[in-house]
Amino acid sequence: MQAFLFLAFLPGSPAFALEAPRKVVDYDIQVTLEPKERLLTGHETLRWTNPSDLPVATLKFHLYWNAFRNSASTFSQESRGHLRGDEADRKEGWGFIDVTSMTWSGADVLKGARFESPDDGNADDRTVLAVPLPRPAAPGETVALEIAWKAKAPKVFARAGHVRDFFMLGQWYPKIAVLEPRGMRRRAEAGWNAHQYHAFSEFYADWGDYRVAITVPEAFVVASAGAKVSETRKDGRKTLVFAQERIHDFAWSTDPRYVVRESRFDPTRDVPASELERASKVLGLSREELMRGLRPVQLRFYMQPGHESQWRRYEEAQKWALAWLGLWAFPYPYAQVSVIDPPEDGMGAAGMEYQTLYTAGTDRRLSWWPLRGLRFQEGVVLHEFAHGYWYGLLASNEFEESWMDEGITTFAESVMMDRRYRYFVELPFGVGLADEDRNRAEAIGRDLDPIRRDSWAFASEPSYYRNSYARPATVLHQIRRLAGEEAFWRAFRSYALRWRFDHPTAEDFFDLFRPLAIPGFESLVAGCFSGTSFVDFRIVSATSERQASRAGYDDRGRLLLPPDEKNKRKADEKGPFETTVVVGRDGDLVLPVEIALTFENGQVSRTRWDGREKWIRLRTVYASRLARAEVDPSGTIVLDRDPFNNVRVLRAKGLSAAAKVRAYAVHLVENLLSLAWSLP
Amino acid sequence: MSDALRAGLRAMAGQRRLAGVLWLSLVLPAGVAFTALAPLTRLLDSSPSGASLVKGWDSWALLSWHATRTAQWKGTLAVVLLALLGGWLLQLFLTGGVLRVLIAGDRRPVLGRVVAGSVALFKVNLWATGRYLLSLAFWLGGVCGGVAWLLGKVAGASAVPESPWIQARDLWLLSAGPLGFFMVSLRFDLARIALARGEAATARIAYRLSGPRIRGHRTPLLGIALLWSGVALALGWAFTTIGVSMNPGSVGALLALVLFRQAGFAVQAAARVGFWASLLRFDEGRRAHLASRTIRLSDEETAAPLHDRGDGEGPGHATSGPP
Repeated sequence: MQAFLFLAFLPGSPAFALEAPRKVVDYDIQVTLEPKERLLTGHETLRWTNPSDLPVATLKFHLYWNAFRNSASTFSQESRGHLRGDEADRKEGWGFIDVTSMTWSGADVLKGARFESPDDGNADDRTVLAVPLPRPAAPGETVALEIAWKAKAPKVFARAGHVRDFFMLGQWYPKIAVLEPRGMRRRAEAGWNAHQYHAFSEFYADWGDYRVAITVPEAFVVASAGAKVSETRKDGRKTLVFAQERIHDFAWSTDPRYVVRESRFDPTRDVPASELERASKVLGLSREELMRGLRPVQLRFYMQPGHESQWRRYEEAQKWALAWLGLWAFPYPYAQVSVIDPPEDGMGAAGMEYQTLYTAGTDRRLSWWPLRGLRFQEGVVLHEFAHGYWYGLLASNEFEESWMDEGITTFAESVMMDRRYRYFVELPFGVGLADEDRNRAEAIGRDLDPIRRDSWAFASEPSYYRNSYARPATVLHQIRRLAGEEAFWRAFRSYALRWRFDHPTAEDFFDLFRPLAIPGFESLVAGCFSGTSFVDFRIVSATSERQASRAGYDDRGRLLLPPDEKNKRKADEKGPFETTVVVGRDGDLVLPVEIALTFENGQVSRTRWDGREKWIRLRTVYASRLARAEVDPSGTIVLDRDPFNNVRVLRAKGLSAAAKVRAYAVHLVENLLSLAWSLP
Repeated sequence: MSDALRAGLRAMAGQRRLAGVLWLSLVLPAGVAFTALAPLTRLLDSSPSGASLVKGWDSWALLSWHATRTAQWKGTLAVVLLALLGGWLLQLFLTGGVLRVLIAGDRRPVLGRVVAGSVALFKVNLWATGRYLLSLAFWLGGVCGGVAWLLGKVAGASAVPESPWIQARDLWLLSAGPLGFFMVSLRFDLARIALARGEAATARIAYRLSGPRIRGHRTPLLGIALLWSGVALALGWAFTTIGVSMNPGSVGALLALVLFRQAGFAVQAAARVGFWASLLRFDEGRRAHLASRTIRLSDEETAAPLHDRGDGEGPGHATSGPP
């Protein structure tokens, strides 16, 4: 009943949801890029308003590019110069950011500044700067700082940097950290949330408005997170001014070689009718309600020469992502999306999210047959644009709860990918791999870490990736299967609406699902998000024998003898049969599951087991013999660690899957050998 | 070239027993693999994906197999790879016998004569294969790869992917790679023909003989090879596509699929026989041409004083056919 009432109120936007972010910080930045020297010279006017109820004596800043300053930084030590398959140039590829002056009302505040290393105590790390103020900033007071800095772009291997004249400039300016007031993200007391830049951490920032003036050589094409306000040219240089409201991150990119392709997302044309119908049915909203708020969005694709032909693939995926997220989360609130296509030797910049702008990534050869079936282009667009929601518009803390961005994004990507394209990898002859299955295969492995963990505190790089991407995505699919489509998607949408323009925590996410009383939900929260539990259902034993005729003395004292061997064989073919099946559960996740017993006469008996005990015995006497016992026949338990022990076949009927696979395998062998006959 | 193609098509239609022998060379490793895979794939029947696999493709079946039953997965891969290797070696071994039968005409028992011929040519063919692999390594690794490496060096480490040097490198790899492979393989084929004809006692001599036969006639030779490659690929594609669409759901349907696929492989084997017959006809033409040139040269030389002929062996002797 509670769940019913909750569902009834879900479709509308909850009253406490924000329509726009609480503005904490505004940036007015002027920056000049010297491409040959890879130098950025900048000045910013930063207006920060103390959001807490306490006076603040010290401000904290992120100087992210100091991660690339030298081999002693925390980032360098953790990554050892390798990240996501890319390698740092450890000779000339270093970069840095130095604040050269910082004043408040004319007073120099940089004098007492010091670097802090709150996470690991590394005295050589320069990514967090603490700046004491001459006097504390009162609650609600706005501090206007004038900051000058210079920065050198590293050779790109980890998100930001350059290759030749290609520059991807993310987290490139002195950025004030987040002062979390009491109550925000469930904090008991106000305090700074300022972590160092780690190899496996991304970002967290406060909302505000940006105005950025970028000066580059005239030949350079600039893409940015903002809308262009003006452009002036002088002495072979140009200055472009961009502005964007309601964001917490401003990235830009420039390259003289960009080939720009433009398109427009038109909701009336680009939202598939079938998806609108599906969303309307599942979410319990009319089509008009769903389409309300979906606005045209200008799409710009900054392509590398040689990749131009692939922009249509980016475009198709981008439009689909705008439509899907617009329906199942909320309408995209900005006017534009910029997609950066990095060069093939700058793939360290590829696949990275920023607000209103992200980097995709492709290779010329991916447009060749049969490589066209590898949907990397679509995958990266769906993934990175989805980040624009879970990292961008629901600005979660990626340092402390990476799954809230990466995991939910991976989940959304897999739904979008499989629904639109069916397979992430599609090979000839109808063979393909679904995105959800790919994540699931990774998620069911053994774990050393819970999903909720500081991003730098995972046991290893694979553990970080599994627990930030594939595992949380699969747990969300598990919740979806247990809750049912309607309940799950309504709660999912409610989470998105409630926490947009805000900073949710994992508990905020869970709280929107708790009223649904999803069976096994708390076990998943405790066992996966806070633990390393798993589940493996299996058929322990299955027997089905003719019910034994009574032997010994009956009530009248007559001696009953068992049938001799010859008669026993005949009698064994007749019923009734006593069937006993024992189903076990390994692991600590307590999830309900269905058990199906299929008899030789085709009858199927289904039993639902709450999975609380470690095993259950099913016993039945029936006219037909058991042919097959199966736990989880509908595949609801996507977290089942070993699906190969879920079935016990007593009497095989029809074609065996193994025989079919073997036949196909030898046909493959013969095909390949005969392919050799196609060559001289 | 058209003469060679006609000969090939005639052999494709007429040399059915020979095609059958080639088809057996596929069936043998496939049969061994089918048996070896039984214990490795049995687990699929006890997985929830079993039923969906009977219906068609199931991506989760493959991924979960790979993720949770690594030993069986690796075992299956090993069986497939070993079957491929065994099949390839068998084809290599049988080629000598197939050529001998083609040269001699269809006399029974074909299988016995193919095996006997293959055994007789085993050692020299092995040497020829060694020489072939070396040539392949030289042309593909040394010439093709080396030039590509040089072009990359000239372009420099900071070259943009669409720079002319990088484009030239890609173009070079795409054109010179397959072309080099085809020409090196065709020379190997002609050397094996020379061995099968008994023109050469060693792989070295066979290779020496095949050189002049290709020289000046690369285009028609390549044409023959490409045409038969096209035929074989088209046949393979057609039978595979139809086979996949059959998607059997019962034991009977699976048997029908197996029969259909084997029929397809038999047709592909016939196409292979056609290729060899075309190549033999090309070789015969070139031999005749080179022999007539030798005779002409010999005639001219007879008019010359005897002491000018050195040891008495004219230049044509080295390339003339067997007695």
